[in-house]
Amino acid sequence: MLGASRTALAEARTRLSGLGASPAELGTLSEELLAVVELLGRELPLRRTLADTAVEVDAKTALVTALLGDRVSAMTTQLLVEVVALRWSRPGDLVDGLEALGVTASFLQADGEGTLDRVEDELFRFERIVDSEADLRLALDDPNHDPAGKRRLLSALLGDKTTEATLRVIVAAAGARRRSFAEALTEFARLAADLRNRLNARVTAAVQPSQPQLDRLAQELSRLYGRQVGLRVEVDPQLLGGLVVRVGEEVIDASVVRRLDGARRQLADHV
Amino acid sequence: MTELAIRPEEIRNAIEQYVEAYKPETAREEVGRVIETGDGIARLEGLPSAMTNELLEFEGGVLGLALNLDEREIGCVILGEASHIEEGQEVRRTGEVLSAPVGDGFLGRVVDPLGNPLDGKGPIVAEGRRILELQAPTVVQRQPVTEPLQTGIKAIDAMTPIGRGQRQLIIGDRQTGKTAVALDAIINQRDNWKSGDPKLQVKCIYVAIGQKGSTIAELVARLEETGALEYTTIVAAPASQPAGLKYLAPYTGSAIGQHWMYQGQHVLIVFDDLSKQADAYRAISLLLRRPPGREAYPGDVFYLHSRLLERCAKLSDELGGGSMTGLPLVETKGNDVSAFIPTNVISITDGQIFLQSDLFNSGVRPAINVGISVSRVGGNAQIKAMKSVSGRLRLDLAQYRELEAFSAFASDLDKASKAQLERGQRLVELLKQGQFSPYPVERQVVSIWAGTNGYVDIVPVADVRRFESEFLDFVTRSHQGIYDTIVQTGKLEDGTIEQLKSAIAEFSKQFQISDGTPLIKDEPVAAMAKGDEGQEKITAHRPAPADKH
Repeated sequence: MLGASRTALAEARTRLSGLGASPAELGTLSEELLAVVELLGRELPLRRTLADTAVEVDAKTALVTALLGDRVSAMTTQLLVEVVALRWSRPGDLVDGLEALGVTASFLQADGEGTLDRVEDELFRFERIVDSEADLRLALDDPNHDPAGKRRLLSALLGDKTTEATLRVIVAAAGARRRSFAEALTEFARLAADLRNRLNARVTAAVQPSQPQLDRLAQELSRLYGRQVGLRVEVDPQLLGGLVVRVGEEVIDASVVRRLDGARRQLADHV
Repeated sequence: MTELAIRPEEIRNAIEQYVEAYKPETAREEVGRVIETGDGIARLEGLPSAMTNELLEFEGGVLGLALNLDEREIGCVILGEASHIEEGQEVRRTGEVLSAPVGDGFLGRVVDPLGNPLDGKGPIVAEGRRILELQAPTVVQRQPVTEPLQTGIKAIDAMTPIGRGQRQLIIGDRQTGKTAVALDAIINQRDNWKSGDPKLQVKCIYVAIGQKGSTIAELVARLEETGALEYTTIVAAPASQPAGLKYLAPYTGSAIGQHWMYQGQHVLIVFDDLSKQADAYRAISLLLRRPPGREAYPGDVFYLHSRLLERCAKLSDELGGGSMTGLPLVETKGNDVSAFIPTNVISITDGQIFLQSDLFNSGVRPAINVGISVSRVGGNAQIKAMKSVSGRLRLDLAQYRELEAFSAFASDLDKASKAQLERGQRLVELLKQGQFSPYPVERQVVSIWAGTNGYVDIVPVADVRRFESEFLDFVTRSHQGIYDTIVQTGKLEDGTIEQLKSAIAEFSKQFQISDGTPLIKDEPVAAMAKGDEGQEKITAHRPAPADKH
């Protein structure tokens, strides 16, 4: 998202956190916002009209109220009216913005209930599961599958194993536009980390590191990046030894495999 | 024979020691992912801080060049073997904007566009690296072109002279001798190189773009044979290389040359040829989905060549007075110089040498079309002697070409036109020159002096070339002073002209034309008029018979 849309999204986030809603209210808000996102994803003319900067704000307010006023809660309508009044440079950006708001609301809910850590962990673990199960990945990534079907599949799969917020975010990721399930989930995980001004580091190790080791690693990474770093650990014996740390787009690769590869290339270059 | 036995442990130890030299470093790296690859290009996601023209490293060490930086993805040209690159592989930044190693170590070597040796003569020790896309010298950093760069080809040095720091386009159809002209220009720098005087020495760079491997090998062998390889670097991107390397090759050659130029040295760089580079760039641009323009070239194909050729310059004295002379080659189709790429490059360069295929086929070699070939700045760089003899040459030849076409239809011509035709035919003969036989400038001056002043008009056309070469040798043998004066003063003074006149008169007397008769016949003796003849009379005086008594 660039330019005007970026400013609009920042503004919308402030409005969301300024609502001062209770966790239960946030849950409803999130549920409804994500439903609106789905609606706008389907209805192109509606999406265009709401993001059209040439249409009067009053007209848009009237449209939102008339269309959704008695279907969603007052708080959601109020937020929608405010968001639609902002300046979005593309219709798609408005939908992406609402999606980010909906997901953030879920995280705020979890934060209010004190389960944000658990939600983040569940998201990461589920992403790893999907990554290793090709069939599941294909089903979730296929844009031709019915969103309701994906929702049923995910509810059946996760059921009461996860929190309400986790399930909602995962369903949103499965329905995400223009990107794969994994990409959407990574993006949402970043939203959760942003909420606490933290960075997510994905650590891959050959064997499960001990807790003191992880603490030291987190401390060291926090020093390096100047922000709190949350670790997500996975084990991959193929590394043979050492660690690979991935923070955003950056990788710190200290695995044995990489070193062997480097040594091999050195030999191949000169012999 | 001693048996060579090495125990496996020894080998293992040796390799172990070797590998110990490898110090793995762990650093923060930015990593992206290949989302699509094919046809020598790849699209990547991630790498938000990648720069334009940055080198990216694919798995397995293959390098790529980031060209399109879009909002979500990067369009990248793969510089090397692209078949192992797959979707999903990781790509790392190198943090290094495209650059080439440079230095004197490159003389006598054949390298690829990334500066890696191709000739199997071992690694090259570079003096440093030079970024490929550096801006050309500014206006204040330059000075006008005044020093000559002798190509050793009479027709060029006389009519379209090239100065140090000039960009002179060599243009023509395939097989018209473009490369031969450029190669002769390189070979002609040998004497300057041997002189050891850095003011005279010219380091040469030959950039071969999209040529056959065999052609390049032959060229290297030819340069080696003539002793020209020791001051020449060859940057080769043969036809088999991916388009990315062909696109880069001229910039690499230029970077190597600029390094020397900024050290105050003189450089001659040949781009053979730029139409193939434009084709490679077109391929890349179309694959990267940049919008195509005229002839499907991208919009910036003009800038592609202009920024390259602007780097050829004559630097100001404050910057050491170095120069880089550019000889770009462009291939035309059907002698059409008004096609897109030829007109582009013509408008960028300081003049062009147009080689025409029908001239070439009729035996005029080098096949220079005098009418279309020009040199916009080289005139100031000619030595005075050459300027004074070649002044009329261009005009005479152009008039001759016109008259020649006209005379094909006219049966009888007036005397002046006939004389013009005769002169023209001999001048054309005089300017013919075999490949790999560069003429030093003083011999060129004498030869053209003889032609433009009508001293060869009496020689039959078939004998002109022999007459010229024998005369030049005659001057070497008997009047070496003439050459020495021209070389030392750079002028053709009246005294020298008198000497030349007497030399050519002397030589003409002893020259035999090919039918065996002397060029200058003995004065025929006039027949006597009737009545002039006298008759010898014989009178017999017989003594009177003696008396009988």
